[in-house]
Formats: sequence, structure tokens, C-alpha cells
Amino acid sequence: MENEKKMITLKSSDDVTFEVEEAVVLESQFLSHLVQDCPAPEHKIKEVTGKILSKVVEYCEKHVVVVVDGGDSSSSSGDDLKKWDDKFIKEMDLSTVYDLIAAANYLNIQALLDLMCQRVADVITACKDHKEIRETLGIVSDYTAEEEAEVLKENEWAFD
Amino acid sequence: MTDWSLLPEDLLHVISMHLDNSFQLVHARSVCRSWRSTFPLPSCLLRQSYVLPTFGFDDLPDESNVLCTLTKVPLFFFRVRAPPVDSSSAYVYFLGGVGQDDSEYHTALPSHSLCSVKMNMEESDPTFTNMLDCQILSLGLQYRITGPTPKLWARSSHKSVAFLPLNMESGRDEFVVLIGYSHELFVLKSAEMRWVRLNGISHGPCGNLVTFRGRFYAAFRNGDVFVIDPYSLEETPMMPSPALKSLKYVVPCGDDELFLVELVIPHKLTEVSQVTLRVTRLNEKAGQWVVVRDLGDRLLFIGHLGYFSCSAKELPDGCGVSGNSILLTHPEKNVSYTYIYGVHTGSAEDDLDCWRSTQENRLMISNRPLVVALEVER
Repeated sequence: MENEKKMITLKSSDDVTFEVEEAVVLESQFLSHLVQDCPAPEHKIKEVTGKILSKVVEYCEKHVVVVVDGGDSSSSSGDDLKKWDDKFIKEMDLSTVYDLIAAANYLNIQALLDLMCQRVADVITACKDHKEIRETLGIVSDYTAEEEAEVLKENEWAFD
Repeated sequence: MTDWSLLPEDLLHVISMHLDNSFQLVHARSVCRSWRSTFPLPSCLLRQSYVLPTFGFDDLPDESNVLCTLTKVPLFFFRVRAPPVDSSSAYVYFLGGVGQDDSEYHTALPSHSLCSVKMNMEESDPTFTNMLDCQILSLGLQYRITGPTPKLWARSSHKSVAFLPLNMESGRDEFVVLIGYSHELFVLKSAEMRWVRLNGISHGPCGNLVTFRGRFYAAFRNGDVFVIDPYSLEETPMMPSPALKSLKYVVPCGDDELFLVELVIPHKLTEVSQVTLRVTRLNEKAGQWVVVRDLGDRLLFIGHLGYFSCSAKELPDGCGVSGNSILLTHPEKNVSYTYIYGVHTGSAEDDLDCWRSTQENRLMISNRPLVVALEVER
């Protein structure tokens, strides 16, 4: 007889609820502890909005390893998962990436944190200079003219 | 509104770990103050230096204050990412020590881009290559001694300088420097700050000193190979077996592997393809060199810049430089040779169980004493 899967309800800061399998929650170290220590049917996550929590749930549902009878892992294969990850980050704007970095860090989901940080690193790498990084990420330079000159100097290297 | 400059320090650190190379970090820390305070200038790019007494002058009294400088120089391999524009041009690579450019020349150029690296090649004006257009691999460190040094100490003598930090109980940063000068080895311990001649070791010049897992390895022109303990300075011969009459080079791959590359030159040499290599790997436990026929994705460099290696895993196929090969550069002839295992020479008498130079992807080099530019002929 098939075991009934244990379901957990997560509630975002703006009261959006998500009903997920327990295995999905276990992808987050923070939530695993929460669920173990406090066996309530519903958990409010005050630090994460519904928009971001939906992304977190989407990611964890995809990455959860489901062990079916016989011990075979029926989770998506490595290549497929990577393709899915690529699509997942490609479709995301940078402000969502920022919020997901904060959420993945808070909920302690290392793989998601790495994926998001890789995206930011890629954005930095693709920029032709630090001015473009500023423009892309909407950072306003707070350097004085003197400091800016020092920064420029530091970007000059030579083979010798 | 998202404010990336307010991202907590630990999260910025995670991002920095995903950057390709240390120059990207320099790039990122230029963005704003908070990023600058979070990302330090990567220590692997800094040229640390030590002031030491000089050596090799017989007429100097022991108490003389003549000093020289030992500098740690980070070495890099730059692959210019852009493919050749047409069939007559070639893939370009640069190898050498990279440091911050202190000259005024750089900024004076209107066209220079940020994050650029200056190349002082040949006698022409320096050229600039945008680092962002390059794939950059770290090759480790080179140690250069500058200042009042004796005449015989040439600019390429960095090949015979090795440095090891010592773990002292006192907790102080102590180190040992070993140099091959003239026909002898000299050693300096930072606690004593004076050069001492190492006696009892091989006779003959030593042009190849490296460190591996906390010990020095020295290959001499006469074919001797020694391992030297940095604490006791005890010297142990470490010869391959069977012995071959060969030119020997020790090449470390970080602390993972130490390779011994032997150039076997036939008695009557008429063409380069007759030169073969035997490659062995150190089995430290057994104290033996074990024959190697596959270097995996490793690329070994042997030349006037020194003896180093990198992983070619991240180099694209068909770029002319690949793993499982050994690159020997001959600056005086402006050529280099790539050696791979089991090359068919077309002659049935030739041994296949060795490393030979291949005519594929011949690399032309242009040199400065401390930089090599490579071009893959097409």
C-alpha cells in the first residue's frame, strides 16, 4: 500500500500559501529544522514574499530526490537538471535574483544560493568595465574623483 | 528598488568565489566603496618581496650591507579568446609574470580600455590586450632576485630560485631560499639571513629548482636530481631508473604531482623529431620515479620562464594548446615544440613508447626575457 505523502504548508510574509511535500521542504536546512522542531501543519516565513517563495518552491520541487520503491532515484538526470537550471535563471530579472540570494541564504539552500551567485558572477564577467557593472546592477558610484582615479590605476596591469 | 551595494559581505563572498579569475575580482571591487571593502585585492596578484643580503661576491666582507630583493611574481597564461580573423592570422597566447603597471604610459593612451594588460613585446611600442577578452589561467609563482647581483646572475636566473615557508613553533613567518648560482647551490634561512654554500651536492650548474610538498627538488646539467629538506638541508639523490643519458627537468603540478621530464638526444642528431622524452612521476612513498604515458588534462611548460603546469581542461578544443602534452620553448631560436606520447614518425624502427614532438599546431614564439607570446600557425 502506498504511503500517504506528508504535506506541509508554507505561508509567505504576504500570506500566500504553498502546499508542498515534506521532501521538498527538506531541501532547505532551515525549514528541515523548523519542521522537525515544531510539527505544526503550517509555517509562516516572515522574511520571504510570496513571489520569491514561489520561485524557491519551484526550484526545490525540481531538485528534490524522490526515492521510489526499489531504491531507484527518479529525480531528473544531471543534464536535464542543468538545462532546467539554465532556463530558470535566464528567465529571471536581476531584482528577483537579488531577492532569491537573500532567501536562499536565509532558508539555507546551498545549491540555489550557488546558482544565483553564479548568475551574478556571469553578469559581472560579461561587463566590459566597472561602469557597465554599475549600470547593469544599478549601483551608484560613491567614490570621490581621487578615489576613482585610484580605482582606474588598479585596473592597469602589465606583463613584465 | 534593489540595492546591490548593500548585499551582505558573506553573500558577496559567495559571488566572488564564482568569478573566473582573480582579475575579475579587481574588476568587481572597482564598482563602489562597499564592494571595495568586501573584496580585498587578491593576494595572489600581489608581488610580495623580501630584502636579503646579496651573494656571490667573493670580495664582500660578511658584515657588508649590500642587499638584494627577492620578489614573488605571479605567473599567468593568457589565451586571447577571439578566434583568428582570417586564415592568415593565428591564435595568440601570452605567458609570463603579471604585475600592476606603474608607468604613466598606460593611462596616457586615449584608446586604452579598462582591465587591460600591457605587453612589452620586442622593440615595438607596448600593445594592450583587454583582459576580458582573455581566458586567464594561473601558473603559480616565480621568484626573482634583483638589485646588486653578480655578473653571472642573468635575468633568467629565476629558474634556479626556490622558496619555501617554514612552519616554526615560534609562529613567526620563517622561510628558506635556495639558489643555484655558478656551479654551486646557496641557501639562506630567514632566521640567519646569510647565504651558506651547500656542500656535498652534485657538481655542475643547477638550472632547475622547484618545490613540491614542502621540499626542494633540484635538477643539474650533469643529469643529477636531488631532493633537499628545507629544515635539515639534507640532500638525497633521486635518480630515475633505468638511468638514461638525458637532460632532466623537474616540473611540479601544484602539490598534486611532480614530473621528471627527460630529454633524450641521440648521438647523431639530424632533426628535432629524433629527440624523445621520457616522462616519469614521483611516487613519494616508494621514493621512485614511475613512467607516465598519459598526463591527463595537464599541460607542462619547460622553458626560460621556468617549469610549471596548468590544467587544459578549460581550454577549448582545437585552440592549438592542449592537455596531455609538454611544451618546450627555445627562446634563442624563437621556436617551441609540443611533445605528445606515441607519435608515429613514419619510420618502423622508431620507438613508439615515448614522447615526441608533433608537427601539428606548431607554435611560434616571440620573446622578452620574462614574457613569451605564442602564436599557433595555421
